[in-house]
Amino acid sequence: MTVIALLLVLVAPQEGVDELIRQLTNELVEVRMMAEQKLVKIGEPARAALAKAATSGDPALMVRATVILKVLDLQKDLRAWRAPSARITLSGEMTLEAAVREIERQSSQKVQCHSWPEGKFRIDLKDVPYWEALESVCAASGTRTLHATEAGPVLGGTTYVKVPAAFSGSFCLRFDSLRESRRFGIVHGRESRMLALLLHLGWERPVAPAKTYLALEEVKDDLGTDYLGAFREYESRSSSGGAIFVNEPPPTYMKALHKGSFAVLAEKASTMSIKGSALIWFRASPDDLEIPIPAPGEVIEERINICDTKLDEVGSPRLTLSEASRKGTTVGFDLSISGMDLRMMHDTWQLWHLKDRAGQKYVGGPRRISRQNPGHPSQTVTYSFEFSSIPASAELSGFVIRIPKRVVALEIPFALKDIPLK
Amino acid sequence: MVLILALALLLQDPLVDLDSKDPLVARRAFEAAIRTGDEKALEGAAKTSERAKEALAEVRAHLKFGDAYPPVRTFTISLKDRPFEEALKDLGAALGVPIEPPPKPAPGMPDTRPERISLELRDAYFLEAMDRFSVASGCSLWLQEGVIKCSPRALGPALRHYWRGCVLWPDSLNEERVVTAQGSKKTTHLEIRLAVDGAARWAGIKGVRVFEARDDTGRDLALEKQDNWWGFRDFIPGSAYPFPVALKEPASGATSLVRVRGAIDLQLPQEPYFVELDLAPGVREAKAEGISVRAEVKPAGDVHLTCTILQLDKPHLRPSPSDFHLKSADGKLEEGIKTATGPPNAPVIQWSIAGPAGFKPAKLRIRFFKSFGEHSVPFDLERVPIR
Repeated sequence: MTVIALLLVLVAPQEGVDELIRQLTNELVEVRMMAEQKLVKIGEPARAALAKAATSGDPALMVRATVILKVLDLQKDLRAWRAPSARITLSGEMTLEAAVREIERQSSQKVQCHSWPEGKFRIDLKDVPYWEALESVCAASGTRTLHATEAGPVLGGTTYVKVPAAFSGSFCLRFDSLRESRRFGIVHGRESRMLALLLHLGWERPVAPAKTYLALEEVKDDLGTDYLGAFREYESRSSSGGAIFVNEPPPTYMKALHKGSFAVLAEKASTMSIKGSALIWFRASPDDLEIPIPAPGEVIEERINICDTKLDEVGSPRLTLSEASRKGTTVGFDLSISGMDLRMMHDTWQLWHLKDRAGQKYVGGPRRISRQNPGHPSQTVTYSFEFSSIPASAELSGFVIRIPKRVVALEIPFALKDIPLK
Repeated sequence: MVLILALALLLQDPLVDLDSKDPLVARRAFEAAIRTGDEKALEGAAKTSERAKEALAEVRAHLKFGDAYPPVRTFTISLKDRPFEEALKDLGAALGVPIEPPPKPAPGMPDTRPERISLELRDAYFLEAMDRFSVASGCSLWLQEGVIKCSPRALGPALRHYWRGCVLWPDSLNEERVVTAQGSKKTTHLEIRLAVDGAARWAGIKGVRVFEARDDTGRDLALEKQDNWWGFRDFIPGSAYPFPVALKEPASGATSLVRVRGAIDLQLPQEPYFVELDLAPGVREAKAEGISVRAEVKPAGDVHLTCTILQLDKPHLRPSPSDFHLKSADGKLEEGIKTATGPPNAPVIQWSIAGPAGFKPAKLRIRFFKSFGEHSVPFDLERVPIR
């Protein structure tokens, strides 16, 4: 009877959304899973019915419908930011407001301006990417400066100031500031100096990157002073504990990229040039990685998928759990990661927890890391974990790492010149 | 002749000593003037004396804020070549606070605890007495949850300015230059730290004012406009809170700040009123402006409190552990031992209050306040090195 029911489901042509939603509560797990997959595949047209199911009052249906809705949300986000950059064509004599309104119309994106200046200017743009079009109209107007903010592009100030910037598709990397600071500790008479760089990475449509990293390749002033070593030394000695994939960030139009150093600017230098890449990782799966705890002597391997912007797989780093032990209330094991760009995990915290069959979470962290070498994806790093105060009665079901099972990785190379130092 | 002199001394205005060059005499006169509380006499003296003006402000603050700003005690202690452990006990007895002696060093480790202590304290404030003992013994003393802890580690040299229940010291000079495409801007901040003894119920911060600031080249560094963005401060006794004071840029050749004088404006609650919740089974709730308090008796007998801060933009409304008392059926009040859960600046604070053994709480007494007022803690720092 069960086999027949399953066969009927499998051969059924093109079930309607309502029928698939009904199948979400079918007693057969295979039927439920297939219905889930089909609803995900149908996508947005199934949203309204799923939203209704998510408030139906049937607990099992509500949970399953909510999970599918989460997948649909994620797919919607991915589709939004992967869309190609808008191309702008604009020609004639016009006010800044008229030019920006036309860019808004062609890109379907909002641009803010605190007050629109009067006066017309001539502009001639043909098939120009979005960010470059905005920069061009500001420059031609001479009355406002473009800023990439979390709320989207903003035209501010009362004049146009050329900000060192680099454009790549729907992304725009802009110089924000250099902060040179000196702290004199009065109690111990110690002086410390810092030089911090802040860049703004803006995008055309709101997205929620799970993690960003600023990789510098060259930092030089016009006298030839090289600051790269000072930035790298600072990174190797400091940690601010930034979150990765921990709190799902809300969609935003901009992310500030910060880099500190112990460098002191050369007194007579007047400009700086910076080369590097902005690395961004996006969640492409709603689930985090969960690995079963191995029995003593056992080795368990899992992989995550790294994709490009077309969602094609470009890598599958390997995560291996081994050397598991349980003594009293302490659980220990080793996690080895190989083939992964460890910059994705640089400067992170609260990335791990154990889970028992009752759903209880036990938070802990690595007691030792064998190698942490950001920027060398081919190398292996081993974390030795020790979770204490685990009740003897806890039936551990898995080790959860707050990294999505599927991640989209993007690298945006940039070169910024003529950054003012005065 | 002697009689005339004695009579002259008796008739001499005690407020004259407020501006004595001897800091001990000035301190004693200051505290005596506050204790006497003669506002009229202080009003007269305040026309010519800054110290009289400050004493008058203190008298009025004690009257205005009542229990939230109780009288300040001073301590006179004389220790002559006392064994260290005995000296700690003497200090604890004088201050009225238990002291935990430092742990004995682990086997094989050198014992850095001093053997004997000599210390003369006259009219010292609570935190000053602790610091002076620290310096004399080479051990650090700090206040933690009503107990003075001690560790055999020398207290760093600091230019400490004691002001009644508070101590202030300059921690760092921070200079920053921010370069943007639009140009560059320089800022200078002197970071002052403030620690409190816990007697007053400080509630929040209004801002910082600078009256005078000069470097050793004579450059005037005082800035009227301060940043005055203040986050939450819970004023835990013994904790040090940073207050950045904006200054103009010191001269490039300056090596110290000759004088920095100003005030930190704090908030204190006033017009207290009390709400009592029956500690019967079930959850009871009380509400006041910006706060909601839910109380529940747990099977073990302790009372669980959940305080929800309804107005996050008014951090001074946040309750303090001293606002809660257990009350027995016969009206006896008990402070109890309070254990907090979660960070103190969270929008929801949870406390567990347990009374002493045998104490049966019938009610929870909550102190709320109708309003909040301001009171200033002045600072006067001299010869602050900056390079």
